[in-house]
Amino acid sequence: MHTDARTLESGALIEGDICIVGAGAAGISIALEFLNSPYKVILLEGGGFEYEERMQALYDGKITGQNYYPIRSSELHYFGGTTGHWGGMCSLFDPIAFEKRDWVNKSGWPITQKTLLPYYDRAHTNLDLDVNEFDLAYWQKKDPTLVTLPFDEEEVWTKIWKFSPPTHFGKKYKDTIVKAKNIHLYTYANVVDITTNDSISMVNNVTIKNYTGKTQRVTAKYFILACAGIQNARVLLAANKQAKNGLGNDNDLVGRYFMEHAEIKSAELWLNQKSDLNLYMWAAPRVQGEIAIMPKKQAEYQILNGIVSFTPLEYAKNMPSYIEVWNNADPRINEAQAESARAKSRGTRMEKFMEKFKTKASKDQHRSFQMTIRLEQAPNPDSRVTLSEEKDELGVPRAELHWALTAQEKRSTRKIYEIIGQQAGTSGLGRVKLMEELWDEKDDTMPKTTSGGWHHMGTTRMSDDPKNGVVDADCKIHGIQNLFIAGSSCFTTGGGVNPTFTIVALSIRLADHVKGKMKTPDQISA
Amino acid sequence: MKRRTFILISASAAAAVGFTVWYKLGHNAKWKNHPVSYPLVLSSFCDELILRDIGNTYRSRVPDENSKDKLLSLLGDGLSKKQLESSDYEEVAGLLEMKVQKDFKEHKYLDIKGWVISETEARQTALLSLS
Repeated sequence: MHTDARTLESGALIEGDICIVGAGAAGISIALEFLNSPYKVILLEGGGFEYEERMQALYDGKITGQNYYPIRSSELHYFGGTTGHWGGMCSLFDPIAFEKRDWVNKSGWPITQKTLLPYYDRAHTNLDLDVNEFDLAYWQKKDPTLVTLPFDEEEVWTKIWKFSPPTHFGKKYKDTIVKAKNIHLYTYANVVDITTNDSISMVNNVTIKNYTGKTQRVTAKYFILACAGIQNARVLLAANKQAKNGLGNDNDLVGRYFMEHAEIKSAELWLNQKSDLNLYMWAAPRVQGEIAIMPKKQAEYQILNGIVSFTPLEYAKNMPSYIEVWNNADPRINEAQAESARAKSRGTRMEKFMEKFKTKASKDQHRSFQMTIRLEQAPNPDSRVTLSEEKDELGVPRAELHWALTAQEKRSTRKIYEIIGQQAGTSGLGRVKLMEELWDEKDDTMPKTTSGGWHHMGTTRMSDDPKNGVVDADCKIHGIQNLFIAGSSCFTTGGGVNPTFTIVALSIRLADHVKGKMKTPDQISA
Repeated sequence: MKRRTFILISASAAAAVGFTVWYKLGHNAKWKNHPVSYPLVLSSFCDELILRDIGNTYRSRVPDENSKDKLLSLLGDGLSKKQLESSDYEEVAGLLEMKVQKDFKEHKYLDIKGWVISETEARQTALLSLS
């Protein structure tokens, strides 16, 4: 069922069993798990079904620190959320991503990759992946032309990506959600406040508001915030009328440890003999390989987890970095700018090249390849989301993002390329050349072209210890019995891969957990 | 390392050196420089100006090796004087490339001007920069 919240009377009370705040990949995945269940699910979406500038403006915010995209354009504010413009890249978080690593500050999830594997299996259908298979040998058996680089398996390995079409949750799941009898979708329902009991141990209701100025309240047994990495922190911090520092923030952790993936075009691979590097070329919907560093080598070199992709240099050299192109507050302008930059830098040759990849793996041979790293960020308390003095049109303080990287990211980037360079030399493959901003090992400044992947993680990080994390292993906020967080804000560390697949897997797991809680309602007490 | 992987990598590495020497000889009938001061693989990616720049940087970074005699002595380590001074450039280049790969395998590499190169290559360019 669907209701436009603008049509509701002010002061109306909406009652349900479960209230999900946010209808993106996480919120919709959770709602789908409750489809046809005996529970009444209230799904709140701040925007409508399409992009609207006025709604997107609610996400405006200030940026400081490492150069970053405008907040306003980095998360989408309508039904389907940021899946409205994602790239579809899916891969598993490696086991090491979940482990405690003594060389990575505050690493170590309270769950393992094994915990998530069955949920990845369920998540792959939500994302329209044909099979949940990330084993290189499996794909090589199907296609013997997928040959790995001749590197030492003790040092590096080839990580496999699969591609979602990409699934736009808003388009794909709108009808299912709207037609569901037990799911009540409210659009234009922005949560502007959260009210708890006196002891701040349980949420009683949330207040929703839109541009009409009318407000309503929503009550439920369980509440799940699924507003994405920046907005989850913002909503909690802004809910400060009872908890002075915001909800779940007794230990000053909400908003801290903001993490992104540092994506940098930063080295070149020069080959002795031309090659197509077939396995490593982007060729959706086929699988793609990228070079990753073996866990024991990450430990030996005390480096972060990063993986490296390859693009023929003749095409890549004129392509601007994301951070240079996606600099507008309007995501539609960014998309147009990106398209224009592609056309200018690549020309028709690149278009033909990409077209070839869309239909079949290219056999074009190249002697040089651009290498782009996607690096996890070390959890850093100074990298954070806070509230601004300025308020949005609904009266909620805007978010301020201070993205802060450390010397470890720069050092890890250098080292990963050195490892690949060493492998290229040992195997007789060729040589590696680092970009100039990586030459000086004493310079900790990140390259100017350092981009992010629009992956907002860590702002409500997961830990069994309330002093180290906002949520527990079940994504429940420490100290609050019925408030859960969904999405990448719960990630303790960021892994080396894009987060959407893991967001959906973790959300399905959370849905299972809440279903279990619904069966034992006596555990909730005021 | 798994035995099969080791054999495959070693074989492909040896084949790569063989190919590179053959390719270089086939495409450059005349060597511009004696291979002792002209790293075969690296010179296929960098022009002489860049090689000299790398060599100059190496000499300033490792002042102990800032002389022809010292560099020749280090480059000749493991090779006979006859081998090193041979007029058979193909043989010298091949021997030095094997030494280069051994360096990489033993993690004797460094970054100079962005290039991840072996110690032997760095010394070759240093020698070139002194000529």
